[in-house]
Amino acid sequence: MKRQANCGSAAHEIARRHFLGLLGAGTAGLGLLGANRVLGGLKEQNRRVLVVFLHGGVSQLETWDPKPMTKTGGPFRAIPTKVPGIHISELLPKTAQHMDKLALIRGLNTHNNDHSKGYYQMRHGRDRMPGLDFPHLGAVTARGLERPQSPLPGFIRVPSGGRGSDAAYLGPRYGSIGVNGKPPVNSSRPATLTEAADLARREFRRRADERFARNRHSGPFATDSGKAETGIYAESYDQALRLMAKRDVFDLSHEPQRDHERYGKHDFGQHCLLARRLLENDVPFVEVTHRNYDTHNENFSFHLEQLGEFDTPFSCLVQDLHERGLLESTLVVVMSEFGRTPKINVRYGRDHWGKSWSICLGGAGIAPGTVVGKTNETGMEVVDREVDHGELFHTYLQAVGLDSHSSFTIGGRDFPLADPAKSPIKEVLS
Amino acid sequence: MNGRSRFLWMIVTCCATSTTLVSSSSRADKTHSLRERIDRLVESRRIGPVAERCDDPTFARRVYLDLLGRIPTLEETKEFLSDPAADKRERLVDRLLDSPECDRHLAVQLDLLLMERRGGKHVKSKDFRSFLLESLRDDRSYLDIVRTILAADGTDEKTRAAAAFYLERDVEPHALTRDVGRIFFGVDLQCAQCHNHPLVDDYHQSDYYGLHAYFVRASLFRPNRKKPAVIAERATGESDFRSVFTDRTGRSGPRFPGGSESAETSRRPQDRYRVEPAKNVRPIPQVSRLSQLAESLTAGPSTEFNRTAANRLWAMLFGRGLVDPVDLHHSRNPACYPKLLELIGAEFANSGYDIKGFLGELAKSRVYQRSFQIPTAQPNPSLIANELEAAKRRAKELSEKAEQADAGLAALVDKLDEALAAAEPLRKSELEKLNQAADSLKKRDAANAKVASRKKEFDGQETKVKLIQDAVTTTKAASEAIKDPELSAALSTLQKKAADFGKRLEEIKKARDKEQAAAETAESTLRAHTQEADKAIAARKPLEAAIRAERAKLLEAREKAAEWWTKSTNAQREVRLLQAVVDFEQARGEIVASQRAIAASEARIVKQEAAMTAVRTSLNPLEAKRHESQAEVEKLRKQHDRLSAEHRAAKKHHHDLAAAIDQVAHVREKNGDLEHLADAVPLLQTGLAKLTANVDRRTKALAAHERLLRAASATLQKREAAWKQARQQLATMEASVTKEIDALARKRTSLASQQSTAETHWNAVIDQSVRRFNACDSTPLTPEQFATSILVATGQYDVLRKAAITKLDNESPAPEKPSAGQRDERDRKLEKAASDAVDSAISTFVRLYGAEPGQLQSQFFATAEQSLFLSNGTVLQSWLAPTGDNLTARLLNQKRSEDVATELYLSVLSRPATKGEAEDVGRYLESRPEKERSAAIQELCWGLLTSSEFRFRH
Repeated sequence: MKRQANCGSAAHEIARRHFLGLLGAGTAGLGLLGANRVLGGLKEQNRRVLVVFLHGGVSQLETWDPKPMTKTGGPFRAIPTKVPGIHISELLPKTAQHMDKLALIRGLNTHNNDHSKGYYQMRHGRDRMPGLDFPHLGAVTARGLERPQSPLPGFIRVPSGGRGSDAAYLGPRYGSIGVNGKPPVNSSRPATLTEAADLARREFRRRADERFARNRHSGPFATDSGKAETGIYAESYDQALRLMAKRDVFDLSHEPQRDHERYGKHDFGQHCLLARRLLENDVPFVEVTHRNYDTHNENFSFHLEQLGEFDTPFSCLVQDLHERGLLESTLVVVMSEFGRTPKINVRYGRDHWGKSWSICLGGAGIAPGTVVGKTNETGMEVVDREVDHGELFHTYLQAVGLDSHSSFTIGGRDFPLADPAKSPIKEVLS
Repeated sequence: MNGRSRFLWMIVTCCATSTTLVSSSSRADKTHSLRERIDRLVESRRIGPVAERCDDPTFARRVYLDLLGRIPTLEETKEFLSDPAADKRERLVDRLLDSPECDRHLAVQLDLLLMERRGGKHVKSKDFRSFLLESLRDDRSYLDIVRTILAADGTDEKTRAAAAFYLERDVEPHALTRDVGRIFFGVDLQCAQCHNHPLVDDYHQSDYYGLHAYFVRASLFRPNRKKPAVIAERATGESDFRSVFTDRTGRSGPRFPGGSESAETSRRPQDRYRVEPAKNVRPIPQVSRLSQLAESLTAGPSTEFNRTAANRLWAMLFGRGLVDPVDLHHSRNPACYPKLLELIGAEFANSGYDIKGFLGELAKSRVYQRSFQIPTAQPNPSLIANELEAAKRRAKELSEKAEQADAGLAALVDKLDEALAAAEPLRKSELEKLNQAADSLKKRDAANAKVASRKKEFDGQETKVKLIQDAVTTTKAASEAIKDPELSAALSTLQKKAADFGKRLEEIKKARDKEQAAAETAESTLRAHTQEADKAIAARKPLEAAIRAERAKLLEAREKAAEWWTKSTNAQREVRLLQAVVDFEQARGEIVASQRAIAASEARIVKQEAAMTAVRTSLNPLEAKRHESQAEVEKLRKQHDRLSAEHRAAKKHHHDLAAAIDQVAHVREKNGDLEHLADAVPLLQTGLAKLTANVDRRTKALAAHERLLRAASATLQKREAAWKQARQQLATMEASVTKEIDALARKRTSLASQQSTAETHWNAVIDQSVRRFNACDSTPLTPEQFATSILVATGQYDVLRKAAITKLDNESPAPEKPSAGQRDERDRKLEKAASDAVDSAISTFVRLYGAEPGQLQSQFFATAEQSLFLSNGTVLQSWLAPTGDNLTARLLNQKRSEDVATELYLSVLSRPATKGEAEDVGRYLESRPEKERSAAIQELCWGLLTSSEFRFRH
């Protein structure tokens, strides 16, 4: 009778015990200091994630899995890349020059053609299930790779405004913060308050906290470490102060003019430049959205235009991350909610298609120059190594050193980081 | 249930689930108040350190936060502190419970409990809160409120707001299953949606789907986007499940977690609906499972329902439930005092689910009034060690018993599977027959419809035939009377028509007869099929009863096993607490021992260093003497060298001369006496004698000197030895001191580690004690409590309420001579205006400090966004600007810094400042020039408002 139905494997249980054992049950969910070390099998380096989301559903045939000279292929050619044998669409000439740093998943089948379900699948790693809510990849990363010392938010979306409700049970601490190139709200001192006075009142606050801690439980120890909550509360004031000192991180005008020109002054170029700035400041998760790829009409002219805008700043970003030594610790993923139909409709458009499509990834933990999965000659079906969003989600987490089979413990409950029924795609991991 | 699914077709509930209203234990004691019985129960299970009764300021702050959702105002604090009455705490509780602010606060709390910040999709949160507020004001019971919520379908304007519970969850069966389980039964079955809970043995997939069966037929109904959505239900739809791990499949009829399944019988197709489903029509089934849920949940509330309700109310006041988390009740996470949980559940039911009465009793208990400070001193360590040993034995015994109880369960599961398997063919055949009957019903209805339409056609044709025949008769008479060829032609036309129409009528008649016959056949087929269906239904009934009986046995056995596990878990908890206490005591003992050893070691070092100093002092004269001797020996050795050289020289002279004499004698012998040679001999002899004397003298002198040298050397050797010995002694002492110093360092390190170990154990003591309510826990204020308390502390609360009331008075003045009803109405309006003003003032706080809708609201989190808002935002800044008689204005009027401190601490932390705190305030103010006094005062207020002591309830 006991535990006849354990979650798939013993690994689940072991991971949980390991996790609990190291953290001590009860206080988890309250900041989780040092959790990355616990989860990550002792990865020394801080890793981070950049997701470039091509909103609306980018065509796999005009990007990562071209089928030139076939009835589904459309007008564009396939071009060789830096990696012999890998060809991608001629719409991505600059990206092709960085293929030696990237990898492709060409056998993706998400069984879905609906926009909102697709957003959910690809970002949350699960199908949306009634009555259940799972956190966004960004929230999982923000918590799993939490930087206890950094005042910056762990999960940033560009462009967007305000706080997103995407952390589910992980709580708002790990939810997304939208950034529009402006510093966070309330991050500058009111004009009436001098720095000295601010520091003095904070010091007074700290003394009050110290007395309270000493008074509590009247124990022989003044640290009050038994109450993690008060500690976390006090910490948030220090964090605010440190964030105030770092508000320039969000200000693009500090980037050199030359880079503005390289990336392009259009929105997506600016957003990629901001992403670089945020990653350089060690934000664990950044998501940049480029829209709109929903090309039911005139698929080819739209992709020509859109990917033209995408190619330059994206390849600049990959190059810069590489040159600055950040790429090896930054997972880069270019994803979409689904692909587009291989069949070209009467309006020269392509419709929604989740059955056989591709994504591109690279950087931390990824074996560069790898291609996993294959579609048939018209791109209508996956013929080799079919994978889905659940497996991708595991893969992302493993790539940044998190044990995707472990669990978070929140409020006395265990929540697996990723769908326990799925596993990572080992072939693409380095 | 492997591979054999349990299948119920149309279902009728014959009886509600079994219920336990009031347990026997609670009936037994009528003479003591609930609070007294709570205290006795808790105090009789006293383990580990227990806090004293809290002081008055702590009590006031706590009870205002818990019953009004805010801290007391300065006046309220002062009034309470200065009240000398012995029963002032009880009276304060009663007064607060009577306050309209209490209704408002409880409405917020119930809203959080039921909706977890959902709202606004179909029903505004405000409307749902108003529904709760009205219910509380009308003294409606908890049960009544729950019944209204669960019975509301959104169609009735009067209960529309109450339907928010379903509507805001989009009437989604899984969402409702999870939340009804969590909120009303205290079990979070979420993981059991896809498989038996991997980590909680008590949570079964079949429990999940038993509850799910109540909701599986419900859905959100909104054919017209312009009209509000309502809840619709169908008469069909089953709760099937399959474990994703074991592939075990199943189906459940409506059943509460751990309860028995409603005995249901399938329904004939013709008896399913009151309003049949159709496009844009809201179907109404004959039997609504949602109404069934509301009915059976509240008509005879189960023990689980009662204790979950009581536990959640307990958690409202104590910061944590007897079961914690409140929605994770199972035998490995039972109540820390199971009997107490049973008691409060039963008593809450007995009281008629009177929320305020119940909260009042809790607030008056001694347990509630325990301080948050845990005393460190233990009564008797050795006693506790014995207690620990006993607890360990008990825990071991109990866990063995629990394992035994578990062992019997597998057989019962097999039995249930057998019963299910036996029923399976009958279920299939019943399904077949029901489908057949449904099919016949459709055919019969179609045949009847045909007959009806044919009848209409026949009637129409008959009328036409009659009209034409009438015309024939009339025309015939006319043509006979008036001979006219045209008339004759008309007559023949009419006659022809009459014949045609008659023929058609005959045809229709024939068709009608045929169709009627077919309809009769269809009717009789339906009858036959219905009878077969009835038979099949009847045939399955006993097997279903057998399944229920087997399930009941299994559930009973599970219940028994769960009881053992509950006991075993609590025994383990006691072991953990006692172990923590013992470990702490031991660590404390080790610390004391270490401290003693360190002191002893330090003393030894001091002593040894003193001794070393003495040795070092004695070393100098020894050294001097050694040098003196060395010099002496050196000197003597030199003299000796000289003397012995002289001695050697003298001896040589002597020898040379003696040889010369020998030679002379030799020459004389050989050559005879040469001239003068003989003369030389005596001279030589004399010389030799002199030399001999000289040598003798020198030999003696040398020997004497050698004696001197030996003596001096011996002295030197002695002195050298003495000096060496002293040196040696010093070196030994030095080594020993070094060793001691190293040992001391090691002892200090080990003390530090002992201290950290002790601290770990102490934190475990705190944690385990607080779980048993030995002391008050510190819990974060809800966003509403936090923000409202800031309003109260800054004085903005009064400002807002007064302004709102003045505005209302100006806009619609009170009637001259109001009736009692009017006055009551007016009071409500004023209270609403005032609290609406507060609500809108705190909305930013709620957004920033509240968890996401639908997530756990009790989970504490702190973000930089929040602290930036309080640090730099304009909201708090504006509340702290001195104006009228708000906090900062009042503080500015205080000239003496002690008075500033007193007023500040009483206003913000609801307690007087300690001496140290008053001095701190004084120093802060003194450090700033007079012109910055206002700024400095605002900073001090900010410092306390943002302190942990303010953010948490304790």
